[in-house]
Amino acid sequence: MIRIITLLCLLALAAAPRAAMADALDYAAFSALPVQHEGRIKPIDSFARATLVQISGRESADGLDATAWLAEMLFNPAGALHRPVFRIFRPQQLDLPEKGSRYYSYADLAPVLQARTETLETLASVPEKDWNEDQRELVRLSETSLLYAQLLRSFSFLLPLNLELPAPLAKEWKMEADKPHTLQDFRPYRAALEKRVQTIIARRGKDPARYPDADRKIAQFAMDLHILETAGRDNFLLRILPGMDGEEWHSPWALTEQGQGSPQSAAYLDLWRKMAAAYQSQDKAAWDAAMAGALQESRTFDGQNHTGLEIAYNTLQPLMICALLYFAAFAGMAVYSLRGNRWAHLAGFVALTLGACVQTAAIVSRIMILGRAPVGTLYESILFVALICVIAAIVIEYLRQDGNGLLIGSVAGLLLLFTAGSFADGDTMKMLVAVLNTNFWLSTHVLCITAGYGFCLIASLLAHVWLAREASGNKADDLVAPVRITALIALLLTTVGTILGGIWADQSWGRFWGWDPKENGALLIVLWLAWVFHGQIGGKLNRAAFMAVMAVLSCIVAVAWFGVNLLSVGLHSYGFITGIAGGLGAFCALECAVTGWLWHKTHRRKQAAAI
Amino acid sequence: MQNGPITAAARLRSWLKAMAGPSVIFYALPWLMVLLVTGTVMQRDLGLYDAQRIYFSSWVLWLGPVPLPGGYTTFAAITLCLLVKFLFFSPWRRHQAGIILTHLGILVLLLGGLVTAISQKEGYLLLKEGQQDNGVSDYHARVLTIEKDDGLLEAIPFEMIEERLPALDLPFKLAVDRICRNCRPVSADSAEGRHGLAQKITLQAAPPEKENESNLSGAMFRVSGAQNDQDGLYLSMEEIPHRPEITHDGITYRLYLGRARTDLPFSVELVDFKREMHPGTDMARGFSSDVIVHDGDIAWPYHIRMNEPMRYKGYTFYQASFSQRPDGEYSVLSVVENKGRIFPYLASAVIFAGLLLHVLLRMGTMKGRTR
Repeated sequence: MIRIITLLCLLALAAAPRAAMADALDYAAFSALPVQHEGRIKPIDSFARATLVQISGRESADGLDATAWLAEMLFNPAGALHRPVFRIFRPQQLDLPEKGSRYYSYADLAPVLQARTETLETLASVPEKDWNEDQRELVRLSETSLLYAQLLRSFSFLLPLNLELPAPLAKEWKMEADKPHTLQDFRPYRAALEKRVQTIIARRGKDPARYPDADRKIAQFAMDLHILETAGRDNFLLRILPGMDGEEWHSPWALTEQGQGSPQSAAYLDLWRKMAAAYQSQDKAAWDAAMAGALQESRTFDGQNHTGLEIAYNTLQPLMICALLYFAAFAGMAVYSLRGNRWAHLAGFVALTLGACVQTAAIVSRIMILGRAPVGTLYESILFVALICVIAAIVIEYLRQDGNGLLIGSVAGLLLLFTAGSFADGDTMKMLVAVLNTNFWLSTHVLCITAGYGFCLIASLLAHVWLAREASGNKADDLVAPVRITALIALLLTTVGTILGGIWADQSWGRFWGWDPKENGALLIVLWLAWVFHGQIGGKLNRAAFMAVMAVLSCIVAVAWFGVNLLSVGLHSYGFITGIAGGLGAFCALECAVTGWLWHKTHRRKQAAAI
Repeated sequence: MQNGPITAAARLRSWLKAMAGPSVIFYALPWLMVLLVTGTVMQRDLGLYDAQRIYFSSWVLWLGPVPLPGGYTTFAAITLCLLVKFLFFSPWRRHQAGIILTHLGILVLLLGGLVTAISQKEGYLLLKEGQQDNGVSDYHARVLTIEKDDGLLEAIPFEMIEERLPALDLPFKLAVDRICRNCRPVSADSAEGRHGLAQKITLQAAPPEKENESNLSGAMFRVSGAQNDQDGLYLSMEEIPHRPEITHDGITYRLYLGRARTDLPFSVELVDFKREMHPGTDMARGFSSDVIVHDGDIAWPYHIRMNEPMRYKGYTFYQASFSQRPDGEYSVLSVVENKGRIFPYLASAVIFAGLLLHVLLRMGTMKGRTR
């Protein structure tokens, strides 16, 4: 909290731009500049979006898009202090005034957090699982405010300050007292100033109130500079400058503090200084010139993979396009089912196919940007499973032309993309933990098992359709074969995927099988499918029961896919999640209830027909 | 007279046929799923070691006084039924080829599981940079080692220490004063009647950790009848490199309670351990160890990385972990000897071929245009 107060002091010193925030500046080039964040080089655009999402839950704030917001944070921190970007769900719990919106500024939030310093310190010693919702929210806000504070002071040493340079110092240092200077301008005189202050203390004592006016101004000036320097230390967030080794990049503060710069980085930093000055003066020509220079210079840095592609991915939001296309496919299917309109069917089929193409392009883009196999995180697994489901549905629709493929493809695509959205927290293109850092196994075991999940869901959805049709008195024998085939493919993929996972474990940890929850989850799906098939072959499950247990397969997949991660035990620690138990339980309960009801209706109809 | 053997054969055949039918599997699989789910969920409370021991690696699962089939029994039943089906009742027809092949693959997998369960030995090698060692520590088993001068006198498993210690042929009496599977060292109230480290600390029993590997076992020993005021309390605990010594007639006896160790027929030297991080983060990108295997006159350098183990003379060394200790960074290499490791590789190929064949043979039924 002391840092927050210090920062507020610091930012009060920062000069505001001469003009009000103008939209005149073009941020396209700025958004393409590289930054190292979370272990990879990415464009500023991705960094800004991920950071803003973390703070406000959205990719735009108070009328600014993420890049413009970041530019204000960096070059006009005094203005950014008052911009309402912090999303606060329970403002009354923090004694914040009720507003029309949920968004509050850093200036609103900092005093509130300052007043709760003791609570936050106490919470640090309490296990996270024991926090209540209010405490969790308080800690989240504290963390995001620290992140915000780091960003605000990223360039504080390059920004003009509203400090009054005492006349004796201006004369001694040959600087103009009435012209705004930056902390960087004063750095060469740091030692001399310190010596001078010590002389004043030796002569006048430690109480500045007793100093003559001239000495007091010098002491105050030295104190302000000290606060600025101290607040800027440990500022590692905005890593925009490549280091000497080329691997680890540095923040401007770290570079100047640790002296790891090179002539190239000094020149690049000077371009950022020009950007800051241009932003401050809202000089479009100077901004464009500095930006063009910085963009050209940054292209010589190593490690930039497909920056343009990543910006296009961020801007176009391909998954949103996919969701719209899947919705269109669903609408086409609905019209076709109700009116029998073949054109609606064709339109739905085209929309579903286009959606699959866009989603394939999105996944291929991610492969190119990250330079690895497409599935390494839970979020990515959902995207991949969605694509598998849609492609399988397209094949089914192409072969059968009866609308069922459109129905299951659009429903699975929409539901899974919606689920993926709830797991998209900040940057979704993440680096992988050590044990996953192997493209071979990521492209064999993981793809195989997730493709198996996809076919399981398709089999389950088809079984739902069968039950719904039979329950409503329509024969659905034509769906039996597709259910069996998709379930067989699911069995093939999940079995082989599970064994490949065992082989990977053998390669990584020295044992094929360790009864780890994630392994057991995968085995559960295999056993369920094997049980269903043996039940059917042995005559233990009649057709309705076969379809009912096949429909419930979606619950088994959900438990194996997400549920085991909730246990937070085992070697798959990188996949642990919290907070979805309620949703998962509700999904399974709803699935079982719907399936049970459909099966009961079907069973009654069959009995009645037999009589 | 002739009906007897014929009836017995028929009865046997009928038994075998029942075993080979899908009914046994139909009832065994749900039970296996129950065991699987329960054992998995219980890992949260019991830890992997105990959950595995109770639910998966057991012949009988006790539900209060009621005996239920454990994991071993269930797997044995499934294996037996599958074997009978495969050997005697497989329908050797072309359209069933995929199923037969899949069953064969599962049998190979289950056989591999059996071989692994019987033959697999695993432990770990904890090495500091520059250190050379051939002793593999067990993940779970603890032993009390008693050395006479520099030779091993006795190694007693932790579970049998209290029972076997009084019966040892020693010139003084050695008894357990306190023993705990998971101990917490606390300051001793007084040094009186205590020797070595026991003068400063004493042991208290702590609740067992969920993961058995994390338990730190220890014991306080009471010595009586020893020469030169050596009677009193002594302490030995895992991870504390202190070995109480009692000297009698010029012979030194040393006690040490720690992990059970198995010696490799060669030794491994850690030259360098590397921990790579994703730049600018505290997230590990990879771990690796440069080692040299010393085997007689042979010195074989090797680079072990995650997912790229070293194999030598039937042993496999994996980069399992690392340990940051006051005296430096240690590399933890998991050491496994498993004669059944080839089976999953074979099984996966056979199962893949079998299921793929079956899917392809059934594919023709997919098409069926009906609105």
